[in-house]
Amino acid sequence: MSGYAGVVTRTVALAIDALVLNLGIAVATTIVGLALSVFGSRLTDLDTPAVVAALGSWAAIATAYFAGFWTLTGQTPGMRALRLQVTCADGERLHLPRALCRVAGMILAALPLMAGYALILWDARRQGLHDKLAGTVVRYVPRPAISGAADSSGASGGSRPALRA
Amino acid sequence: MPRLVSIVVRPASGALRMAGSLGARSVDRFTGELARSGIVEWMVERLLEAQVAERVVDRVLISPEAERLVTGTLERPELERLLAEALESPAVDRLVRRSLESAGLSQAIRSVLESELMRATTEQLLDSEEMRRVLERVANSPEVRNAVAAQSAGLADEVAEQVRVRAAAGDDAAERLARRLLRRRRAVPETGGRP
Repeated sequence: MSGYAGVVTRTVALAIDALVLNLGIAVATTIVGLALSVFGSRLTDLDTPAVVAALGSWAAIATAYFAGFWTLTGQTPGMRALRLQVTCADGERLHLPRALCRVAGMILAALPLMAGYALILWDARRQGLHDKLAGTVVRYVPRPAISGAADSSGASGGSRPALRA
Repeated sequence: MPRLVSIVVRPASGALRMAGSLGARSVDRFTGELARSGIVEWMVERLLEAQVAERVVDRVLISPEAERLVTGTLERPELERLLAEALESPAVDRLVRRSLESAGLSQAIRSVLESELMRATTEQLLDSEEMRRVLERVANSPEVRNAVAAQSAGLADEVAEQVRVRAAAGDDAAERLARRLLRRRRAVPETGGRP
């Protein structure tokens, strides 16, 4: 049993994040489309630069979403739902450059038919290519203690990273 | 008033004379004679005709003495003790139980519940402003809101926990499968342990 999160849990968390992110973008796009329709423009009539700008905006929003959450709390909403946390390998919280590096690593890991993510299946610390590039790990977060009981994962080295305040 | 005196005194003096004539031979004989003589019936008839009873009752009821008597009686500890003993007695318990189990009471309650009056009263109550205010107050009370929130949160937590457990099991299963495919031994993690 490892304290590091595996591929299935992380995939479910990523799916939740994708849902949240795309829902938010869809709502925002709808509002923009309605606003443009007032001036007689239609989103389907966009030219190539506008489409590139829209895609760029989507990428920027997604980058900001992931990097922002990892930097601020170490957890995106999807990771929080699955009780996961991303930290540096030494347990410290990520800073923005490392978070941005991890985002770039996610894209790189996806390019060779997701082979970069397949590393999680064999790696001792369940690190994918993006984790290796950014020097991060993803851990299960223990359930909050109710009666002050000691951490149940002590035998295998403790799982909750010591984060800076 | 003189008429009242004559109504009461005349038969009484007659009765006394009769009692005197009988002497102390026997109380039974005296009462027998009294009943046979018809004096009692005569007295009652005359009293009722003269509406004496009504006047006496009226006067007694409006008198302060009656009020004092009633108040004094109600405030007496003996009455309280008697009532307490009566209420605690098994007989009262039996009586109440028998009343509750009686078919007559059930029928009476059913009749009341099925009556038009009950339906109209309920309708009126439901349509009333007071009822709306009560419902609004209850629905907005922190206790109800907390209970609803706790129930919703409880369900969400339960679903999330199940997803976590199954996903974690899926993590191990996926790794086992991948290692079997590549015939690699399981890597020993450097640190950590699943919570």
